[in-house]
Amino acid sequence: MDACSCITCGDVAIVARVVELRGQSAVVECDPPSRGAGGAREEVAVELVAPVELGEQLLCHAGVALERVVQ
Amino acid sequence: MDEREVLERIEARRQRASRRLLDERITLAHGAGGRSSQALVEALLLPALRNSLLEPLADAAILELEDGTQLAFSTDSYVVKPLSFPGGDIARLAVHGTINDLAVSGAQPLALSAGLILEEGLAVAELARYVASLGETAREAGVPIATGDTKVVERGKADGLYISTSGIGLVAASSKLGAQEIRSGDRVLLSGTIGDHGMAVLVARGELELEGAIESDTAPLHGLVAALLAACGAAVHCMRDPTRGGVATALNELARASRTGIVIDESAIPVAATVAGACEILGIDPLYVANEGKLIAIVGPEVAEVALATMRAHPLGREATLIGEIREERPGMVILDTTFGGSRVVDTLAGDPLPRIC
Amino acid sequence: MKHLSEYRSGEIAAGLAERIAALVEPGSSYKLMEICGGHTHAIYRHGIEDLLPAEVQLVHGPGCPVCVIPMGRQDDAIAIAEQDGVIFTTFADMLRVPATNGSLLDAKARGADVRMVYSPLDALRLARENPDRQVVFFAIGFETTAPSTALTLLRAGAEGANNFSIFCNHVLVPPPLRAILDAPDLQLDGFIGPGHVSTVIGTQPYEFIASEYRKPVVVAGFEPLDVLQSIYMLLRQLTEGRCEVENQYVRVVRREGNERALAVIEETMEVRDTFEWRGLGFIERSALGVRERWGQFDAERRFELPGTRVADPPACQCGEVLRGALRPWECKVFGTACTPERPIGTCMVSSEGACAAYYNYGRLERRSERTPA
Repeated sequence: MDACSCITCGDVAIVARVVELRGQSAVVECDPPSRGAGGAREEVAVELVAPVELGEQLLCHAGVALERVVQ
Repeated sequence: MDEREVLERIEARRQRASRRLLDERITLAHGAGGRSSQALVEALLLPALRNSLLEPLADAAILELEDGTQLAFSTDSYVVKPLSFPGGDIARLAVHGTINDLAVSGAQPLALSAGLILEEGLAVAELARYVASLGETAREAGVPIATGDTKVVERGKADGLYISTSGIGLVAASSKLGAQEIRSGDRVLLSGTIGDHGMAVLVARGELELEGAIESDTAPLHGLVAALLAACGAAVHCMRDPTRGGVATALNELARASRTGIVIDESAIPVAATVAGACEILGIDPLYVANEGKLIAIVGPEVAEVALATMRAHPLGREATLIGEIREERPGMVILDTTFGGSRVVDTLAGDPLPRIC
Repeated sequence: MKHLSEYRSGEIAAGLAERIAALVEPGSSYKLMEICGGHTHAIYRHGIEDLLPAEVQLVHGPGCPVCVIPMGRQDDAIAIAEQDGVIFTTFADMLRVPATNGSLLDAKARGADVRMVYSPLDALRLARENPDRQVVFFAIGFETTAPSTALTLLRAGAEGANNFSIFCNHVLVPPPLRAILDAPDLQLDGFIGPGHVSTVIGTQPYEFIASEYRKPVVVAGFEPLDVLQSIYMLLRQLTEGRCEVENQYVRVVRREGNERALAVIEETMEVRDTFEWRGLGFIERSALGVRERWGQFDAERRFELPGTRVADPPACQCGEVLRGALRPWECKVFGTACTPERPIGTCMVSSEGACAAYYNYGRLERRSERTPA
């Protein structure tokens, strides 16, 4: 899509927080920039970073968590 | 040729009113409200139908009767999928959409028509629900559905139910609204958060692994508009409800039609946290996502404060903000000053990956 | 974790911009290439160029996987989509890309069942829900996306899905960088490395750029402050005469990458001998194909494909733009014969292509030069 990032095929991934564990998947919540918590949620596969814990920040791309975010 | 000359040449091409429709078939992009829709209207529909009422391509046509009475006349069709979504359904959209097209033209809506296209096999109980919603929405808004029509098509030829509404409204005698009234120095006001409707429908489809409590903002704007016009009168220069293509598309149309530049401030544009989060996940810019109950008002700088206070005093404008202003420079373009301290062009989209949201 | 808004702070940005300006020697020029389309997008979306001194020029690299897929492959994709009984799934980005006979969106208008998905796992789910149809996923993307495809193949194998396959067009980032560095008209001083590709492959694969070609690399995140900081780090390397691979994006990128992600790719895919890139030509060992053992999930084995090569149009100067030898507006067809609606070359195809990004967002003076209201 023009004017919006090519999120799925490009090198773009989002950082989201684990709010629920569902076996090989986890529900993550994307905290939107410049605002408080409480963003939208999506389910992602977590095999590549397992085991994950509630509250952890994951880098997600095309329905799969690619890496854990550390500070 | 230097950079500036190249850019000016491109800008001139982009601004050229008549666009060629190069596609051989209609694709979903033609219904998305971006450049493809624009090309369809300007290159195919307008040449065939051209007349002075249609020519301005405004939200509603303004008919002037012999006694000076001005009537606004508008029509719209609704093919949203799914038929129900958090915050509303196809019937509420159909009533609100046409009321809003009349309202932003400065008209007090008088009556609506409703045409229903039903798919063979649709459960009567389901139809009854949407018809009840249609009646209830019209009553809430105080605008009767005065005439109607139903047709049935074979199974598979429609997604359950399509609704088409038309409406007429009375324009106040003193009213002079439109892109031609926009002046350099005018302020741009927005009645609240953006992107709620488009993202609510997208999430409701359940095709994405996306969850979130996002409600459509579908609402009738005629009350808010009446309050604004009562408070600011002729200093309200132009209004739009940014539906398909979102705020970005609406502002681009205004910039083009008024031959002015519009500069908006990213940090002033309200976006609900859930909508911002969903947009971040999907890589969508909320500026391009549809709204069904938001008002953009372009007003003279002298009434900006009053206009803002009036909007905020109305239930549908509580989160109203001043988002930008009209400039002489870069006519036809919308420029966004980013929170980060930079700026960029906000262009019209060529297409839209979110088809059938209204 | 720091809140995202901290990476978008205008205040911190202004301070960093001052430090960048202080490093720049007036009159000299610094050409830095951001390899990745995501960075190109961030640069325009946040107006980052407005914060840079005129001496620093950003060159938009080949990092948009939509753009680099040659038209012949796009023709093949449409040929699969138009076969009876096929549900063809794709990321939204590919829908509008023109092929010889229109785009996938046009194929959909002609009757093909083309559906947009956000993850290959969604495509596999569609295969489960439609057992009487063949579901094909148009797999494109760099090393960031390949793990999602690989994981989907593993799950398809475990489920024994016999109506699912992928049309594999995954490409690799390091090989085209070498192609760009080998070009005789190279004018680049340093590279902003792709953050999320590096999450998977690590920073080690870029070390040849510093050691063999003596150019600095900084792997960067995608928030605007990440990009600005990586520019600062590159300028420091240049002024101090260093050529190293530095990692700005330490919060997710490790030198060795994500071994598990690399392992699932290795398990299901293998490097092709050669692959054609739009604008750059054939590049050896630059793309992935499905391993023979997973051949039942390979659309190239399952379907008859035309496989016709379509040459880049002769007027196209994308190669020069991608190497930084030409700026987008200097191309002779830019904005006239080649526009986002009717692209001729790769750089205009997706919104993240160098030319399309410039066309869509870049056409204005810098904010600092604007007359105040």
